[in-house]
Amino acid sequence: MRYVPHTESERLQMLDVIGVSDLEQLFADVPEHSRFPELALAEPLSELELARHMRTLAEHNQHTGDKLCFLGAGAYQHFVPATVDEVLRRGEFYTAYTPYQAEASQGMLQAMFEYQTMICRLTGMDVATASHYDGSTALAEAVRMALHAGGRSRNRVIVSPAVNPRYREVVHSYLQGTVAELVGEQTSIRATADNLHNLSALVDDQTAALVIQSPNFLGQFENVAGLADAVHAAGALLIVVADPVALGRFQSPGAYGADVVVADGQPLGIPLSFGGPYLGVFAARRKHVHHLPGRLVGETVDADGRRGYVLTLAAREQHVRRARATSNICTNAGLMALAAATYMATLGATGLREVAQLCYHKSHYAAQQIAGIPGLRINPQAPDKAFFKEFAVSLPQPVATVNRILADEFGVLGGYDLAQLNPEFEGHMLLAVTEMHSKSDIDRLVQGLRVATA
Amino acid sequence: MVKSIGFVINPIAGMGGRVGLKGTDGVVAQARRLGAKPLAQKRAAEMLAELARQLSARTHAPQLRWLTCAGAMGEAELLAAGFLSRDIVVTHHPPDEPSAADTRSAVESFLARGVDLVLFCGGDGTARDICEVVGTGVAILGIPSGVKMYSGVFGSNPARTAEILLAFLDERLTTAAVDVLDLDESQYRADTWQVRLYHSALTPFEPTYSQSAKALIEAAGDDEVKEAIAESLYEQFAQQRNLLVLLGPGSSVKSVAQRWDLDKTLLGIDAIADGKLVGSDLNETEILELLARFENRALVLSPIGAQGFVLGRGNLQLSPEVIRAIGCDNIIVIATPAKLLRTPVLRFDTGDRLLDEELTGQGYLKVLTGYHRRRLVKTVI
Amino acid sequence: MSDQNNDVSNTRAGAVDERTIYELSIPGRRGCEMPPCDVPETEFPQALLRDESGLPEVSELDVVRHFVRLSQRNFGVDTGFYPLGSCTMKYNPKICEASARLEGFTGTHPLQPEHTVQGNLELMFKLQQWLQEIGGFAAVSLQPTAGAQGELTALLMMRAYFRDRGETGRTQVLIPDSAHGTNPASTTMAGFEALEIPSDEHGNVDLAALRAACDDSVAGLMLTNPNTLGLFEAQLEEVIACVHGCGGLVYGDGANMNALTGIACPGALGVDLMHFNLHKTFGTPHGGGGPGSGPLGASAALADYLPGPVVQRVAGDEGDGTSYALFSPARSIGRMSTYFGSFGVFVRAYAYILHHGAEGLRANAEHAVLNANYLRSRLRDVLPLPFERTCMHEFVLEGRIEGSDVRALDISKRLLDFGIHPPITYFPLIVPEALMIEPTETESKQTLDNFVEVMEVIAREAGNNPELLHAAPHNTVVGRLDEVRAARQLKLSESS
Repeated sequence: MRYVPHTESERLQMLDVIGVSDLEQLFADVPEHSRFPELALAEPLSELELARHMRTLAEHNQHTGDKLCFLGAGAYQHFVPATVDEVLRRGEFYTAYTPYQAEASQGMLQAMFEYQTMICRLTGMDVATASHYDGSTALAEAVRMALHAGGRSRNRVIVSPAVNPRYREVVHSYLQGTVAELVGEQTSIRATADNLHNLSALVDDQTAALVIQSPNFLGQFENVAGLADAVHAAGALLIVVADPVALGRFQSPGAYGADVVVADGQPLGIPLSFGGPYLGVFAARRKHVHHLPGRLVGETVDADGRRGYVLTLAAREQHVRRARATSNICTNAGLMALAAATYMATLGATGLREVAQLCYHKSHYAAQQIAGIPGLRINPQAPDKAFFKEFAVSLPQPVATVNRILADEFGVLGGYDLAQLNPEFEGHMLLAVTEMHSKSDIDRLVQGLRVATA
Repeated sequence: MVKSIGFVINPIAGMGGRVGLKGTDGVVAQARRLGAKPLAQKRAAEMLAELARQLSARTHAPQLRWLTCAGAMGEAELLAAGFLSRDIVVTHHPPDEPSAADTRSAVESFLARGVDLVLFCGGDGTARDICEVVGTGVAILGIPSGVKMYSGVFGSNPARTAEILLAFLDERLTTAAVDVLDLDESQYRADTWQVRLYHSALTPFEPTYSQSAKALIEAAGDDEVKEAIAESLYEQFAQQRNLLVLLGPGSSVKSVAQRWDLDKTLLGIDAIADGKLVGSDLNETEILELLARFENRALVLSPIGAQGFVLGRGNLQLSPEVIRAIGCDNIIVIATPAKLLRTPVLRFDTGDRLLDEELTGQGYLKVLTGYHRRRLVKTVI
Repeated sequence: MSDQNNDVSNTRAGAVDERTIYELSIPGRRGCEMPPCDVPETEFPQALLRDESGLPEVSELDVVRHFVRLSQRNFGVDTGFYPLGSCTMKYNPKICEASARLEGFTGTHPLQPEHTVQGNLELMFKLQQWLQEIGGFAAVSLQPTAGAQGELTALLMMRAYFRDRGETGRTQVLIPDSAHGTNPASTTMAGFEALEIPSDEHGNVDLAALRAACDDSVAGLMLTNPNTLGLFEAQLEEVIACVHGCGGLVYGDGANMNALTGIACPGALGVDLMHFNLHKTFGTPHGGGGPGSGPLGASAALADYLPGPVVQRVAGDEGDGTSYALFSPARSIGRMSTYFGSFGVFVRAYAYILHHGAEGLRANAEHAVLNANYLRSRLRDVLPLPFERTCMHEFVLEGRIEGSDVRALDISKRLLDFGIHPPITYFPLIVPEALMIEPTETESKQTLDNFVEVMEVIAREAGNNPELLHAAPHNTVVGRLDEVRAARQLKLSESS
């Protein structure tokens, strides 16, 4: 009864107004044999006890507060300035609903409008949505949008094997129930080393889109020169999965001709939080604006000419025609977009550029040091490709064994075991190094790897 | 912004009903002899009074300019309802005993000067006369005052007609193509009840509302919904080989043909196979001949608005024999959600009781209302 | 409360336009500095670089003032009464927020080895168990990231289930016309056809129509119970039996489960699949439009199709303290989000349930229903009530007043002037001029009484001064915004 404010006498007065004598009478419509089940839940805890319990439970985890973490593979530890949580804690924002009542939601709407602007500039696109659930669902919605745009004759989507395999799985889930066909191999050593232009050769008049990721799942920049032209020549769309932090310093997908850019916005000020909630970033060329899934905020005026913002283009295509229905999206990730907006505003152009540069330099320093360890190789599948903040290392031992030593003896959460995706990657670890890692942190990792693989 | 409304009263509309005649077309003199009194002026006065009342209650009312006929065909009732003579332009002067030709001339004079909508008071016959002049160029709206009002252009009563007009002036309503129907009066007076579809007209229409998320309701114009229905059928038919698709009368079904870029007759039964028009305005024999040549058949029909007749009105070519040859399961009924709002039940009257019973099924029929979307609608015989 | 003070021509106190972050931007200004690079630098691949990323340049104080001022232009449950029907805008306990911010949770990476995240897995396992118990299901997957995604997931599961049984002719999904608007969209997305079932005059599913629709082409029924009119489906068992009788499945839209916790278990009543909206039922915040979380419960027959991974308790200790492990259900339809769903939301919901216990959850549902019926009883004299029945946690009024051209939207907008968030307006569609009111259990009698008084004032204004309502709101930072212009002269970002 912690948050129910009624006193006994108020309860009786209210029941009297309704014309019933007790609360149970309000549930006469519920079949009697099923009414008021005894629920076997835990005994309730007071706030004090609950706070203690939650702390204890949280400490059953190893976490970035007490371990050095070099895991990436789609979720990254980055610096979050204090402004972000300060803004997120504003009850006016986080206890509000989706801003359907525009006059009472100008704060959130303007913040979303600014978020859309920042995402457009960062990705080099013309329009951005006010957020999706996460990177993988944003990609799934992008693929559905491309299938819609491609019309009846284009039912294939080619996904590069170097796209995050979890993203591929979600796209696959979202295409169940359609006639669309997902083309492209699972992540494998050979496939990720392949030149993307071999993939673009597969794009034909039945292909709706080619999906690539750059930097790809293994951290490397793809060679995109001429790619968009080849895809467009076949009448398909180029969908790019991006890393928003890389866009602070490295060329935008818009600059090399992408039609749709999606990303997980988690690196933009959102904690790792065991995989969610994250932020789906979705941006596209202007010509797709009427087919965009999800919410859009637009600027307008009131009767007196005051500037204001509203949810707009409730996209008829989605809801009325629904030819090859594109989306059922309702809730999105508004608060996460607010976090990203605050993060991008605080970091600014210079700050994000510095973060991207630090990621680049530190990961390369780490790679160079690790390359000096006998038996270890960096990006063995494509050693010449440039990378951003992640790279693969081949080890003479199983990754799990190495990681166990790193954790137990060096307080390091080691890299992602790529063999979980494909046995071909046995002994391959994916390491992410960001601005969060000082030189001494990196040196500890290197020392740990040296000891563990000796 | 000033809105121009053309306004015409058919002063003899509805007179026949009170004296037991089934319409006044061609029998005015007889009606007068039997003591018929003008009803239309009274209905028009009711509507205009309600309109004036609602306008005066507003601070931001739309400004109106009336184009009308002298005397009993419009001007008199406008002045009586309190509209100012400076806002009224008389564009047609009818003789003492006006005829259908006067309605047509009046509307011609409105169109010559330009109007946003033609408001008329009359019945199906009047609607037909007006449609002959305006086609689907300008929206029309009827104050119901006839003996027969089967067409989709009428408000349900004079007060409701005023509300529709206001909503249209406020741009809260869009326009949609609806069917203008009428009985064949000479047959009707001989006790043969036969509704015919005569025209397609534009009229102010509630958009179809759909909820895309909580608190976000979208309005879609009728045309968009018809396109969605057409798209759904297009996909469905594309999957069947050796298929003859028969398309019934009316504007909803016409939009299905447009999905194939084919121009279907508004009033007739047309046939499509392999994306080509293989028959137009077909009669019963022609339909039966065509049916025999195809392995798979489908018939697309839309109910007559409000009344809900799917078969037996306006499509007598579709005889019981034809329906049996098509197969009851192959009949696809389509309607926009907005049309279904006004059409709570569907009716069948093929003249063959057993067939009607089979068609009404278990008392409900699945009506295609959008893309991959159907609604169960009650059926009665 | 008085009818005076109608002169509201210039009351937009906070109506100073808040400049956008780009308008505040001054080249060279910074809000955050990174430490110098402490490792030798590596040469950049010049061809891949960009010079401008297009982000604004502002100071930290600029950022803080800007977003704090924006927050002041936003209405939340923490600001005032928020009776937004169908959305359950109840109080979000602060202890749940604080719990979700513990570094032991926020600092865990989703790909950490299982033995290093036993706290997280235990939390997820218990939350799964509790949701199973509350809903009456055999299994729960926490993966769907929102209610609408939970719906889609359930439909994909139905599809896979019937495919495995060879019943591929089941292409139709029945949806009552009082359902949530996302239901038909999810249906089409999953490759089914939506068949709308009309409601009867009491707001229940029309059983005769349902019977006529139930045959071997039916995959299932999507049922919101209590329905979107706030009414408990009076013939629920007949409805479910009818669908099961033709071999179909019943999907429960759990959006309104907050009225049923401890009152009834949908699974026990025969519902095969149901999503929970953690943000509605278990007090997690709506976040101004997400993140959501839509865990999905399934009966024994469907449990194997749930999206994975889900958490299982493992029998023996493997020597490293592992008691909980991730696994994928045998016939899983696959992954619906990149990792495990909205973990941060799970923490809040877990804390909420543990804070309340079974009795507390039942009391929440009872008082949500008490508050709604109290308001219904008092407001039926103010506005027309289309269904004269005991409601559950919410109810629908018709926003029209005899002899006035005031519409539901006008009433809604006028409420804003009194510091009250409007109800859901124009939904559900089957009630004309609908105003859907959900007070929730955390509002006091005083708040509800004040709301009734405000509604009475507005009803009087509708008669005396309808123009005041047509032009409302008057006290918000902006007036009614031109939505048509927003859609026609699209401006979705600032031009550079």
